[in-house]
Amino acid sequence: MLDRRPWLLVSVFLVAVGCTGAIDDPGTGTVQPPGGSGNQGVGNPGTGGGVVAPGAREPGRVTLRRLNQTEYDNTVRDLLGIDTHPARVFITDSQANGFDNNGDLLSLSPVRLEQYQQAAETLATTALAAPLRTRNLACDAATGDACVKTFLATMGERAYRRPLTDEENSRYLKLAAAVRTAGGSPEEVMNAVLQALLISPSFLFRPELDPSPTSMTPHLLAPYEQASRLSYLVYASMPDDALFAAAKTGKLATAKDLQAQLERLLADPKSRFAQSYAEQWLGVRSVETAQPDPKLYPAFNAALGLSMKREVDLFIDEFVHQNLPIEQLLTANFSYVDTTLAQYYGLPAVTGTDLTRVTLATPQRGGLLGMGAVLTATSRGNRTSPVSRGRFVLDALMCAPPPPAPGDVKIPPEEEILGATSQRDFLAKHRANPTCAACHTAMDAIGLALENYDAIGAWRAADKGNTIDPSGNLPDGTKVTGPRDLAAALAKDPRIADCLTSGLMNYSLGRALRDADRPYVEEIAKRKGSTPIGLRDLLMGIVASDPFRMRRGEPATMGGI
Amino acid sequence: MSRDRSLEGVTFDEKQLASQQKEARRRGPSRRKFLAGAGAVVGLPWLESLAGSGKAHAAANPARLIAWHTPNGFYAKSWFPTTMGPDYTLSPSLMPLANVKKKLMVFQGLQNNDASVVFGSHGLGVSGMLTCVLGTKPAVGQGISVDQVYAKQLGTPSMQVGITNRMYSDIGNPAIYNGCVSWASATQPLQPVIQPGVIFDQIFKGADTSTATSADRLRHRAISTSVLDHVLEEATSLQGRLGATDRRKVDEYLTGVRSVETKIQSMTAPTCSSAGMTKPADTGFDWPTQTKITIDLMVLALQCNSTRVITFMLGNGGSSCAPSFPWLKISGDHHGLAHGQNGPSLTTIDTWHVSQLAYFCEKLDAIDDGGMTMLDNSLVFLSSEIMNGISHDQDNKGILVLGTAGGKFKTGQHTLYAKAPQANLFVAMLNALQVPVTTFGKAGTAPLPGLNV
Repeated sequence: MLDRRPWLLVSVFLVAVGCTGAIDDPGTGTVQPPGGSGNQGVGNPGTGGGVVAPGAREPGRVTLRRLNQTEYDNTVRDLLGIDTHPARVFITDSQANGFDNNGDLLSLSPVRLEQYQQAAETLATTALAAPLRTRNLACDAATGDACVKTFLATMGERAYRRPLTDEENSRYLKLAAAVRTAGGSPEEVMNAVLQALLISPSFLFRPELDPSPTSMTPHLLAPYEQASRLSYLVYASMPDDALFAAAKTGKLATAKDLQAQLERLLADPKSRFAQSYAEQWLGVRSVETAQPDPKLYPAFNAALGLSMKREVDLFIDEFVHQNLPIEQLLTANFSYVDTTLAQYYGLPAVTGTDLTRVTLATPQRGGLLGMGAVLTATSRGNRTSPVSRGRFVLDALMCAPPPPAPGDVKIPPEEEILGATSQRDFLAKHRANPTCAACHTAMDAIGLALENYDAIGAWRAADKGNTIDPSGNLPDGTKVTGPRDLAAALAKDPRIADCLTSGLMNYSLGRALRDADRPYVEEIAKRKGSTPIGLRDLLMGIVASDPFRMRRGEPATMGGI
Repeated sequence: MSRDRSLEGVTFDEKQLASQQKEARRRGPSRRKFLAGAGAVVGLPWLESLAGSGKAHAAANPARLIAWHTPNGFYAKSWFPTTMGPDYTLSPSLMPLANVKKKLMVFQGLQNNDASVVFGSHGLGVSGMLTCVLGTKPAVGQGISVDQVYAKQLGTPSMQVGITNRMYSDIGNPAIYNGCVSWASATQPLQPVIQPGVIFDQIFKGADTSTATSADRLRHRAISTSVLDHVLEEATSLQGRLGATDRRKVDEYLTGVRSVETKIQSMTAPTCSSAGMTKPADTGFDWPTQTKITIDLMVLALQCNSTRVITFMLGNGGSSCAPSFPWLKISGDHHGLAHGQNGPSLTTIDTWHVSQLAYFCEKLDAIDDGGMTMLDNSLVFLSSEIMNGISHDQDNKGILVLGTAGGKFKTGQHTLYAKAPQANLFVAMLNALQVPVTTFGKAGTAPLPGLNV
């Protein structure tokens, strides 16, 4: 099952051309470039639990999520005021289903635990020394248990993202006593308590409890659990004071409450939604560490790559803040550039050091498919890959990735691809084989329309001395003459709304979607009246949906993944 | 008698297990002596839970197991020697191993097929390389890897190191499959640590090198232990309130905390010096430099007894470290070259990979290990996730083993085992390492014949 949405097994594009394929990858085209988009939302039996009749809706459950590296660093920053990014040296979290916040796949090895323990020792010492001491410790350590209790009610509650239970409080007092017995000073007692908070499972994981872990009856999340879902969705960090207050006073009980909080969080400059979500969705997270062949692409460097990535972030931010219609993701006539990027794109110069919003007057840029980050991430280090770009559009925007090449197809050697006079001629030869043509008709038409962008997204009129011909026909017969036409044609595709919603929901929940999520996705993605759907509309729909607000247990025998 | 769930798919010769445990009980004191002397760290030997009681088996100086992975297969024509038996001539790609040829086994004909399903992709090939299990997808489902079976037998921590965290995901496969050969259980990948500085710290974690007074040290250790006891208790309490899937996550946590606790409790003065090696930086090396540093650290870890089980990933499956191999004057990425089966370039790359293995093995061969060399008292395995970069097949894989596990494993030959399961090689290797398994993975049903001495 390759589709992001399990119920959309075969896409319209591919049915039209009778595209079939083998189950597995022996092909060049199937290995993603670094940070490739992967397959968001592939059905995951682990989180599903139980067979659900088509059309039946139930909110499912989310596997216990460990903080990923980004979330750990952000949480430590907000909790202790320490912005040293200690998780940078941790073992890299693996991205799965396109995102790195999937509870099923965030595993925990002994080495990682050791890294948490070492980080906790360092963090506790830094947090309780000047200048952070006054921020983090509101009592006199010499007062013993009294100070421990105060610390638990303040720091403890924020670390656990909820008030501690009586049992937990007394366990900490027992720890304090043990440290004293071992000869520990009052200072060492506080240090040990903070260390314990920082390696506690209630800190490293985000537990959500079911009244009955084996009951399949859905129930609303507890208010503090709900607050964490919201804050990790938008901040990739712990709840802020207002969210804590809302949880405490029962102001997260209704869908409207959640939507109001979402609007507030998205408007906060601390929002990391674009970075956390869009960079992974579009596979541009590591574009600044891309290493295109320096002989072929001397213009590329990390600074340029970073500017390209920031462009995507700010572009998506505007869609969130202004609730812009999602079809404009492909057709927008604005973007964000700095001096380097403006020059690179051949746009009028901008002033200032940061990226600035510009209105685009050129037909060469506009929308995601004209952005350096996306174009670089879908290229090889030494050439463009129209196939990868075509596949990216079908996969990331339509949730209809073509299947991998069948096992018996001989993929042409790299030398042959590089030696071809033009990508167009080469791919035409490829499509002469009906087995290849089945899928490549769709991918190639999209990719070839983008051939005016080289492997690092710079505009070019010719490739190897041959004028580029970006024209072609999409499988539905639409004629395109270049990137602008292509964007306009693709923007009309009704699958984009469904696909975006699926990806957003996958990310918001931290789990892959299942058949039983389909009705929710369709409802959220459905256009209400004549108003076009905006990106924020989708998010608002998601936080108000049952899967975001509810969960259930699982049968005792269901072993998850 | 509750069996360790992670060991599903591996079966043991129960009679031999029982006799090993009897022997271990008899030699109880010598085990403690070994531990005290070596400063080694002890986990929770699974054999105890298997047998209900009694001390786990541990020889005085158990052999080491080191498994290497190099990406994108090998160029068969330059890889396999053209002659068989003990007098074979080394092939072009294996020439760097000339100095240790007598301690090398070159295998031909082995398949890593799971019940005749060809793995056929980089990701499934990597995750299946040491597990001999075909991974499921899209959800993660693997099997325990051979290094982890041995680490559990020893009850000591294992080490996973690598060069890069760039992962390339095959369609539908969890990306982790391309970047992880070590699996503690079907659902717990053990990813490699790739920062040399972090690896260095890991080696000396068990050794307290601070200048604190011994009273300070003892107090610090007692406090750390209290903290860990505290979170163990909390996690156990939390676990009781969770459903089956979440409980498994907390299991991983509990295993990790116990492992750290064991390390802290067994902290002693360092048992070896850093051999003149200073702590390296975490990043900023070119590929060959980082490879050399990582190999040096692996040798150091073995010398310092900080582990006896290591897996090393010299790149991830389908790795394309573009611009690929500038120090070999090869442009074009490795994955692309493998797809084109570019003979001269692939031979050069394979030879470079083998020369790194030779550097490692020759270093081990220069270290005395109780009357033999450290290489003699090890098994060093090397393979890739696939063989041929076009077909992505698992047939006739390039597989090397060096060392004799202290005289228990035959070497010095090029041998054809036509269509034999690679998993049977692991049964033979585990038997040589004194782990009495009878099956391994899906296809391993008997030791590959003629190897156990």
